[in-house]
Amino acid sequence: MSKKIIFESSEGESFEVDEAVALECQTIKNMIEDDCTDGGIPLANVNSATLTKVIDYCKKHVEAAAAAEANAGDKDIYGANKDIELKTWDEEFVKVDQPLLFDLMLAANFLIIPGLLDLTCKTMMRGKTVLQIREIFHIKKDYTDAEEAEVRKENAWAFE
Amino acid sequence: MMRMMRLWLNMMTRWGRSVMAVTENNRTVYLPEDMLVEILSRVPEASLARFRSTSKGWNALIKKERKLDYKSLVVILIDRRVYLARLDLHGIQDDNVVNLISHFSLNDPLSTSSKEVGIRQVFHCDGLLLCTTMDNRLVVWNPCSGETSRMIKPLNSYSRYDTYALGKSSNNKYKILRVHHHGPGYLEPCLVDYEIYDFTSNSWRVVGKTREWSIPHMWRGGTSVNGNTYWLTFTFRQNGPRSRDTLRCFDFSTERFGPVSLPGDPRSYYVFALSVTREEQKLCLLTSSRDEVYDIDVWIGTKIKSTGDMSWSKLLTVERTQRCQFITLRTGMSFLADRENKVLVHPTKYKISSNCLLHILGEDKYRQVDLHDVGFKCSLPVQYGPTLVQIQQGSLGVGTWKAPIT
Repeated sequence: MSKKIIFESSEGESFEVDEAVALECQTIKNMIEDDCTDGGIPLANVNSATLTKVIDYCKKHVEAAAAAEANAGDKDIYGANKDIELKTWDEEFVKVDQPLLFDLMLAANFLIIPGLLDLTCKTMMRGKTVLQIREIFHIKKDYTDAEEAEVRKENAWAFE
Repeated sequence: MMRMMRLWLNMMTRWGRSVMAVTENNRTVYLPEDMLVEILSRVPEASLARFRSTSKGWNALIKKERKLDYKSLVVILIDRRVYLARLDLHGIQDDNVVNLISHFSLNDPLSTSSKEVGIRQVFHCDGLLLCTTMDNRLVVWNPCSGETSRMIKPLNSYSRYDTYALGKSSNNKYKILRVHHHGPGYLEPCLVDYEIYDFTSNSWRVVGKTREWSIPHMWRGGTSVNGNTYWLTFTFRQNGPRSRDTLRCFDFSTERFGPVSLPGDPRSYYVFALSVTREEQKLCLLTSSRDEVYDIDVWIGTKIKSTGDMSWSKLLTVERTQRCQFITLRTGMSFLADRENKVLVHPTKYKISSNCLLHILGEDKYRQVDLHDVGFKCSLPVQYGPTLVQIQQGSLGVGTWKAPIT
């Protein structure tokens, strides 16, 4: 029976996970090593919907790593199917609405889950125009039209 | 209580200074500056340049943040060693245009000697480097993680007419291609066969052969774009030995060579070399005019159809290059095009001189940079973008970087 870790979401909901899954988060790993996880870990800035997704991600990646190890042997598995399966799974995993993607990214940053951070950041920014970026990040344009034209001119090559 | 304190402290340090508030569904989320840097460090350089027009704050952040500068890393092969260097073309008048960051050192796992294995050639694909060693083996490196593949032996013995390429198929599978020439293939056709190495099965298989074209010596280093590799080739006519300069692409998904169209009227220029743009890794072609040989053009391939029809646009024209500039360009044969600064960067490798020079050539600028005491053989600036791809295999990973990449 593996050791369990309990997370508590911002709504106060409890989530029980295997220690191996929790170890995917560097922040939690440090806490486990410091032995200060008894009685649950309150995550005041992660809501239940986000936490559910984060746990799904960690579970999948722990399972995939275990499967890869079991199949490794002396075989060279570089670029093998497992890897592609996991990538496809990742792509499906981030097909969520913008606010949830944002929350996932912040959670990955806070909990330090490098793979998830990379995945969410890239997904959020991929193929976005300046206008879309302003919308996503709620940025008010503080350039005058002339100033904006000037900055665009400086970086004209990137708009071609 | 202690636990809460710890977590709170942790949050404070991780969440640092906030630069903006993001409101979603009537709630406010503070996005710390380092979080924004994390996000921006993952976007391609062209997007980064575009995002500078988002707001004054973003513009200032993108300008000042060194971490967003990693895309200016290049890989240079100097004196049988692979170096990672940072190019700073903004400071073209400074002395610090090139900073060698680290060099890669490979030791032979089968030998007791601690002597480094010399590197003959380097090929790049998507953050991974394929190196051929002086003792005619192959190894794949990920300079970002420091991982290496096993030492791979070619199907048959080394030939100086061979060339290699690292590529990636549409299902993200890496493969090595070897193009094996049974002769120089320069003045007359020779048999060319090509083989694929599969990492999964650790074996080579012949995938095709031809006598219709060859890759002459000066064009043997291919250029990797989107996982596929491009070469300038000689295409031989059926009657007679005279060849035509052509462009060809090896598709790593279909494992076939296909012709690719050259820009404009190919009879109006001489083709020199292929490369990529530093920023977004688009294919570039260096040509010189048939009328005025010292006038050079750099073309950029903007779109390619499955038929091999490539759309080209002109990136840079330098009229009347000085003779010495022109000759070094001609000798170097490997260059990197920088769209942002509109310059070409290329190294030279004179045997008579002790130092390797890096030349920076633009419409109205020219500069030579001395790579100091790094030996006399220098080639191939490859734009290098770090990758998280893992070379997953158990044995014989023996390469190490002498200094960490920061």
